[in-house]
Amino acid sequence: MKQEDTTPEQPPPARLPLWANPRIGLVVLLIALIALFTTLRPAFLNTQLTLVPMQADISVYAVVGLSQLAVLSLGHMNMAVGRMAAMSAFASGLLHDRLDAPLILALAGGLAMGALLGALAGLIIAHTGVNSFVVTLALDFALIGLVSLLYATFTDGVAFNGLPAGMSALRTDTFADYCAGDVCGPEIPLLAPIALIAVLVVGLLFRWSRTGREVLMAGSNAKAAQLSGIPVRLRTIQAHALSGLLAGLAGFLLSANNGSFSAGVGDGFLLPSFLAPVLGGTLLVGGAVSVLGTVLGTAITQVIYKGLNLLQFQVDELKLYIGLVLLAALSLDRVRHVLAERRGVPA
Amino acid sequence: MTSTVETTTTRPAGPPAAPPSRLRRTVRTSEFTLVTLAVIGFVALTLTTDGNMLSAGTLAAFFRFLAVPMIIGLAQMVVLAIGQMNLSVGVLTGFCAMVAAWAMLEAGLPAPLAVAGAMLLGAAVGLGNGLLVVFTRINAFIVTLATMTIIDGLRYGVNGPGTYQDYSAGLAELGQASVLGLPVVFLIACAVAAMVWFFFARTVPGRHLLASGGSPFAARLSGVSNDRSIVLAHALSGLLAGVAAVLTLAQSGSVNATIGDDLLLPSFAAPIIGGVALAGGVVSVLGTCLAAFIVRLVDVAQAQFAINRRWVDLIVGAVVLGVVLSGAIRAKLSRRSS
Amino acid sequence: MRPFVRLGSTVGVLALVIAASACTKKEETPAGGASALTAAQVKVALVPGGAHPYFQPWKDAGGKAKTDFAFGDVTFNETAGWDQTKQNDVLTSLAAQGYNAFGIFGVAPESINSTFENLKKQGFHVGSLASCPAGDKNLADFCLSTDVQEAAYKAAKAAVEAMGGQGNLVHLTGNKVDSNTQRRIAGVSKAVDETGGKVKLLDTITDIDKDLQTAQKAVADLLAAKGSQVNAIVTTAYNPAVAAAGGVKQAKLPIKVIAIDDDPTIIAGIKAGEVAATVLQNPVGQAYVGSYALVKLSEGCTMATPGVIIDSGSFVVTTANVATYDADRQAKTDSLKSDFDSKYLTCAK
Repeated sequence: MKQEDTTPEQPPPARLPLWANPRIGLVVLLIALIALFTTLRPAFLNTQLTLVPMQADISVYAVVGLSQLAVLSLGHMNMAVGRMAAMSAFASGLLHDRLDAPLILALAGGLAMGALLGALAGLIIAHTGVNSFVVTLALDFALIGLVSLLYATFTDGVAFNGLPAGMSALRTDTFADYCAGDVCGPEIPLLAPIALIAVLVVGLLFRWSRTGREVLMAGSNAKAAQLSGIPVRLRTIQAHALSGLLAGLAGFLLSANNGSFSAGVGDGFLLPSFLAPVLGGTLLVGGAVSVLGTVLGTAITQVIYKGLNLLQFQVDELKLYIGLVLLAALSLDRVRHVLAERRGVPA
Repeated sequence: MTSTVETTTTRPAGPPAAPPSRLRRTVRTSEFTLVTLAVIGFVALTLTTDGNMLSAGTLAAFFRFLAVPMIIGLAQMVVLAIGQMNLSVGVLTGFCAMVAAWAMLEAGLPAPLAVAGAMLLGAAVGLGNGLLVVFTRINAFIVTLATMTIIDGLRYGVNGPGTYQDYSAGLAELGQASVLGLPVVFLIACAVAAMVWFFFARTVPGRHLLASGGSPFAARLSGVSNDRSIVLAHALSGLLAGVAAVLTLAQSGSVNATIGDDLLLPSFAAPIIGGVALAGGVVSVLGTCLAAFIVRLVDVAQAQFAINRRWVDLIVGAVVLGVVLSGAIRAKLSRRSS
Repeated sequence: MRPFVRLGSTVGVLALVIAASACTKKEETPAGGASALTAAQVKVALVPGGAHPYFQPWKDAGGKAKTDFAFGDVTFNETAGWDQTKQNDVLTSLAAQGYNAFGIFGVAPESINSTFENLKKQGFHVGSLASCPAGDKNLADFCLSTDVQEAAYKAAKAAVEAMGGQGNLVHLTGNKVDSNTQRRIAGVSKAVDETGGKVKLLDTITDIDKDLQTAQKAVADLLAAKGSQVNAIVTTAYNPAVAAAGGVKQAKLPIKVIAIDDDPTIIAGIKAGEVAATVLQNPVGQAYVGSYALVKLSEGCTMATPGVIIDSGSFVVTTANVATYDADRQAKTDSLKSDFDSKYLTCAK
């Protein structure tokens, strides 16, 4: 496969024309899509029914995308994102159900479970050298079985009854419901800042922290990284643990959004988890990530879903158009890339 | 980083084993492990079911539902051979089956034409995947993810949620027929597997394909067109999905828009357990078929002992992890011993 | 750069904390209280959990309800794809498009109450159709659904009858982690228990409704393993029903198959004698009467008991009544509608 070099080197910003910046391209695409759907269906800008639910979905799926991004940085994949999310939702639910844990503790337990599973996958991969796809796929299979067996053992089959106090507020409330005096917050769901924190932390991690940069170096060339004294195995385990942790957070956010800790959490995570980072310009080969791009990629996917939903397509057309729009969006990015290359601008 | 197994897996271009170590090498191949596993599993099942496993009905059911997983595993394998993936194999199988059933029932085409049409359609869609990968230079994983969504929509569009049945008496008869106790569909699958083996072992395009997968750079230097290999691999994968669609039509007697939903993960499981490297360049037709055989044994054991399906998922996952780990350990040991 | 980032984030966090501590939650404005609409303003959306043959009659039934009750509009949207998140998305999109009354088959019975709550908060009327939420609570205005336990019980009874009162029975059904499946399993075991040991439930095979091939494989393996011992198969999900009818026919075994619903394939099987009986539900009644109730609620009626659970009926069909069963079902639909008028709805007029 031909693969252009996208090493983490930063091109000199002055030479980069605006249109050649991938992030700007995504923003333009996003605005164009919003404008298109708003023209076709003015209801697209309805605050309560479109914008607020869409922000909640973007929050959930941005974290899902980041979870995949954490291992894409190594050139690895995590096929078990959905099931890690399910296990972590189970842990949160169990903590609340059996020990009456408050929201924060339930969340912490869930995150710990996710991180543990991720670390386990990372440990196997790092110490056997087996392809991450294989290991996480097998782990996914095992967890599918385990999740439903656990639910069957600890609940009456499907889900935990009841949520920790404050969790339904995460689903129903926006900041507009909270006021200081007469000044109320914007119409942003309470889930959004949680996702925002995750985005900031992951972004800072890969940009500024030594660990994050070492993970990227291990991703772009494991052998060179090893030779230059980077503990590649440890970084592999850490990246997978981060992926599991974020999958756990996504599972918690989805449980909050859907209103229960159930066995079905995470079922639909796998495909979006790849779409968002890839649309955002992260390659599957590792060594470079784009956190902001992932968020934009998530936003674009959700805008497409929402817009096509508003246009009320039937099942077959809906799937057809989603696939076509995605292909078009991906190809556009390629076109931009090729054009940029021709003009000698590294993009 | 991506060494899946010992490279002793059939690499057609590889040199023949030196005579003294032939036995040891044979014993160390992953095919040998799989054969042993398959035989042990089969014998164990026969003993624990008081011979029910060997009754004509059980054997027929066993092999009849082995045909499609085998072919679908091969469909994934040919793409893995060039180090890529095809996520659309499952839905493509369903789409081809639905279109063929539609052609027979609604368009009134005779069965042979519909069968040929299904395979052609599969190959054409596969070709489309390959061309998209080559022209856009987007990772095949992502391209086929998008085409999977599209084909999924088309598959549903053929007949909505309804079920087609009684499309062809001849095809249904073929699906039920047996020769020497072995179902015809299984024999067809074996013949197709043999052809795939021949393609990789003895034909120039097959070797080029493996060369592209093993080292695109070296392949290009020696005059192999990697792009052609990519397109060929995807077209072949689509064609095999079309074959799987025909076998499904024949053996099941009724099809609807859910056909193929159960195939995506097994399509990866079979080649991976069978010792095919995800990095490309290595294929194992026998290993893939044996792996499908073993997974099928788990299915049957589940029916014989009425095991909870969820335990089966757990066990299959654990077994794959186990195989992977043991492969890695074996590789480590043999490295140490040499 | 680093110090700035640190400084910036510290300031940001501080600002957030200060802002948060000064906040109080706004008083909830009482939900609902939607002003009464005229029938012409009511737009009904019928939203199943995903594409499935069972829901196909909803299209026509909704259309018929629209003409009969002269309300504004009706739509049928099956794009939820068996994913609760997607279904929620579909519902809010429809609401944004002006639909203001919803008949919903919830994908996940355990979390669908949250979805109902969300919609009701916006002042919409919601009916839970064809499936009720898990647990005892129903936050929709009403739930009009097959009593799945009762239907499974009837199916198992029919199986017991077809196999002559004794022998071995196998139950094939859908997703095990679904409260409706749990109810079905309970219904079948109740019927088996009533035979006092004469009929034995040999096996309950779950999780084979996802796709047809899985069901076919499971049936073939079952028949291979225990075909000679099995006297009847009762199916309470669509794909297993199609697979069981086909599998038993192919294997030429004297096994009685009890199917579910009246998809053309199943009815053809009954007529050909390959299927002993099928248990019908009442999708037409659910969509038709459900739409009626939603229109009435929008016009200002209230539920006498909010969240009431109503059985939409289930019917055993055999070769004897395969030509006439629709009349029974129509009668049930009519009586459901008059029950809404007389019992369930309270209208100020």
